[in-house]
Amino acid sequence: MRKAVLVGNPSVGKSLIFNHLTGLGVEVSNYPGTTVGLMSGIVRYGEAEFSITDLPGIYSISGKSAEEQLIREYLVTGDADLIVAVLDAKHLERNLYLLLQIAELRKPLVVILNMMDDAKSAGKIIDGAALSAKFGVPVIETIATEGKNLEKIAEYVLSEDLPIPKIVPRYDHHIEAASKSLQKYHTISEAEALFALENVTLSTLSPDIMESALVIAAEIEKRHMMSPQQIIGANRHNTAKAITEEVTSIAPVKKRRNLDSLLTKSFPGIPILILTMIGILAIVFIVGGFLEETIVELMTIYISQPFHALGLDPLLDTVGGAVILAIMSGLGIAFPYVFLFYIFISILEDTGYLTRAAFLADRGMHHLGLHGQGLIPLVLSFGCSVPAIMSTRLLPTRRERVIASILVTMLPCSARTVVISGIVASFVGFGAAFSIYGIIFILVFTIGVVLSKITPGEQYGMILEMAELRKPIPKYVFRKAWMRVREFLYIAMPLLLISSVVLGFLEYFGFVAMFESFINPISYAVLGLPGFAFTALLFGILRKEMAFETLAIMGGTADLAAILTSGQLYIFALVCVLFVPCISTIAILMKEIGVKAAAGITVFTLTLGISIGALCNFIFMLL
Amino acid sequence: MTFELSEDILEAILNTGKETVKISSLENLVSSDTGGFGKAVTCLVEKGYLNESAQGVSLTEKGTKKAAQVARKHAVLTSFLTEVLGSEPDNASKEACLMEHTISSETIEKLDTFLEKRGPGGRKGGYGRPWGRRSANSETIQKKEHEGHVELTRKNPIVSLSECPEGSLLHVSMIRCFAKHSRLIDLGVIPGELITLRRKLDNNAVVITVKGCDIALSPEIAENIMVERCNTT
Repeated sequence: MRKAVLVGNPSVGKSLIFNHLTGLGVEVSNYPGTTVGLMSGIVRYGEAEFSITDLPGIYSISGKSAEEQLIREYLVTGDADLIVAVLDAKHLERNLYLLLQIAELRKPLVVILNMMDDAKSAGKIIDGAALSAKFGVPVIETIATEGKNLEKIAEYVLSEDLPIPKIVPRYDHHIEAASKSLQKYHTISEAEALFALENVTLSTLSPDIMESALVIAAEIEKRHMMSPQQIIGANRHNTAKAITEEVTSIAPVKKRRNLDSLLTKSFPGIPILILTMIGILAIVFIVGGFLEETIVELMTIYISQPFHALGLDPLLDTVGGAVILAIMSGLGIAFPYVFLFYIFISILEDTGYLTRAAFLADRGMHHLGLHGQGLIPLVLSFGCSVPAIMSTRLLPTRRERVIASILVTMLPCSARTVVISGIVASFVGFGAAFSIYGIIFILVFTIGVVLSKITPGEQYGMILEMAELRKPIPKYVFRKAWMRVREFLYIAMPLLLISSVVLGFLEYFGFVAMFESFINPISYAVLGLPGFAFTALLFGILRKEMAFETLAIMGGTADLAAILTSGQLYIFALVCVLFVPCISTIAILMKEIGVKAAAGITVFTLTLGISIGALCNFIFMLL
Repeated sequence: MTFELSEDILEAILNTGKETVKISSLENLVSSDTGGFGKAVTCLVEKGYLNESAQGVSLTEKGTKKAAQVARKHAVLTSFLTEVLGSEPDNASKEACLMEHTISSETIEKLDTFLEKRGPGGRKGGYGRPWGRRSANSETIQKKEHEGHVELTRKNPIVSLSECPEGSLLHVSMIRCFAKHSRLIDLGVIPGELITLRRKLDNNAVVITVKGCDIALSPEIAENIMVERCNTT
């Protein structure tokens, strides 16, 4: 089977083309770097079949980021039969830079000139045939949003002889001489020689090739006062500029309203940003809360209650009940919160607003050791930590991902808000409930500031392309949100099931009661809480609001004020909110930042929760 | 520190312009409050940097070379401090005195190249090498095209991107700490490129237009991009 790969800058419509060809749900994204990982699908065209892989959006294949390294390696040593390079016709010059690099690999290539409509309204008419003649490979002009001309890609992938690009970019004569001698001496290709001169790693470049390239590179740098990387980059940009001028003719520009004059200024940009974020939170909160209640209620009535009414063997009843509980917890989070949130985030991404939000938020995020992009996980975390941690992928460095993940697990998600409002606001008072928020925000800010000082790793500033503002297409918004919910369910469900069943067993065999009598004195001494309250806290690990529910069940009454003092309720809520993220969050943490970091965060929040609770208990005793 | 003191001694002798300098006058020239002066001189003589005679001390060939190196570092640093950072000359000289002992030769070479390339107002007094003369992307001073065929002239000082006002048309001169920001080349922010400063927030975060694309940069990156303003005439 033939194999094709899609390569291109971020947000040029690669994912859209991939979607169109494969019919498989993948995301179309405006936010640089969201399609992390390789997505593959099978395309059926007439009688024939071929596979197609969508690579993450990149600006260059000679960079040092993980994605760029992966793609470089894949393109040079991979088994792809045809590279399909997708270009944004409106920003042809910038896109040609990457195309030139890819053409130099001398692998079969087809060029897709996408967004021809956008280019035209921006006053640029691009001559695809002339571009094709320049590169010596076919150029397909498309409008991916309308699906125009996309079937032609299949024809080229399946055609008899695959076109190899012929273009030869001109480089500075020192670079060319260096490249020639490297090629001759080590029998490597021109592209490999250039990679070596740019000091980028590749598995086909042995250490001694790199070493000799390094010596030559130092010599060139001395002469030019510029690194070969810079010279080669500048040469490629010049070639790209020359080609663009040759193939572009100017057309009348359609005047478009420029919303950026509103969106990226401090005023009214920042108020708009705040309103948007609060609006999204409010909607997700209200609608999500309603949906969750409905889902849980329906499942209780139609699944849980009939199941318990069966009167099965007590052990089976416990295990079955635990499974149902896990499914309820999973779905109760996935659909109302994760899905809704992702619909909004997808809209923000696809409209291009997210990049503007990141720009405006850059300043505030700096205090926490993050950059503008860090705003998204933090906002998401008020809804649910799981999608929030999933969104830390947007952040460029591991350092930022770790800091953001820690802060996300501390911020009160909607489930924790249920605990605060259900316990503290109802039984202690509104002021007390707000004071819990106050304590959390102070802690988050302090820890953010401390983390930004102590977390190892290099700090890069933000270099972010502002995506074009455009109307989102509902179909793709829903598809993208659905993909993420599916991912969440895949990750969180197994863990939820296992832990729920284990807790069920423990309860059945009386371990919970044993634990309770064991923990009772400790719990009293440290937190001033009775043992059953501590057990309720443990159940909160499954789903945070379960701590609240379990407390009521264990206490045997919904009137919590009758069994615990207001001080105890306050401490219970505070500890519950701070300590150990829920199982789903731990699962996603392990996937995103690794088992070790996830374990670290879990232990850290556990310690933090207990010590803040103990501190509170101590203060209350003094009063 | 004997090491710094001995470098200061060599430099001081060179600065007097005399063959031989009396020990007593030398001690006044080198503002040493520690008692190590005599010891330092003896040490320098032992190592072959100085010749000691009845009239005083004089530099050997090795000593002259070393002194010239230190003096050069001093000059380059002073010029950097006064002309680029705008420090007061007196303070600059004092600071340079402290820095010259620890700065590596490599850094001083780079700094010197930077100053040489600075052009008008550079330490060479008159018109130094224009920016980008050696850049692979050679650019003429007068340039047509870009944003509706305007005639551009560039005779303005080189400043960092963060210092320019919104809406200005700029010519990229240099990128400092280049290795850290290699993504900038991929996006086309290279010496010789014309960019427009679209937006600047009060914390100096900016949005620039390069090759028709809007790019947001955080303040610490913007301040490393050195640009020259283009006057549209």
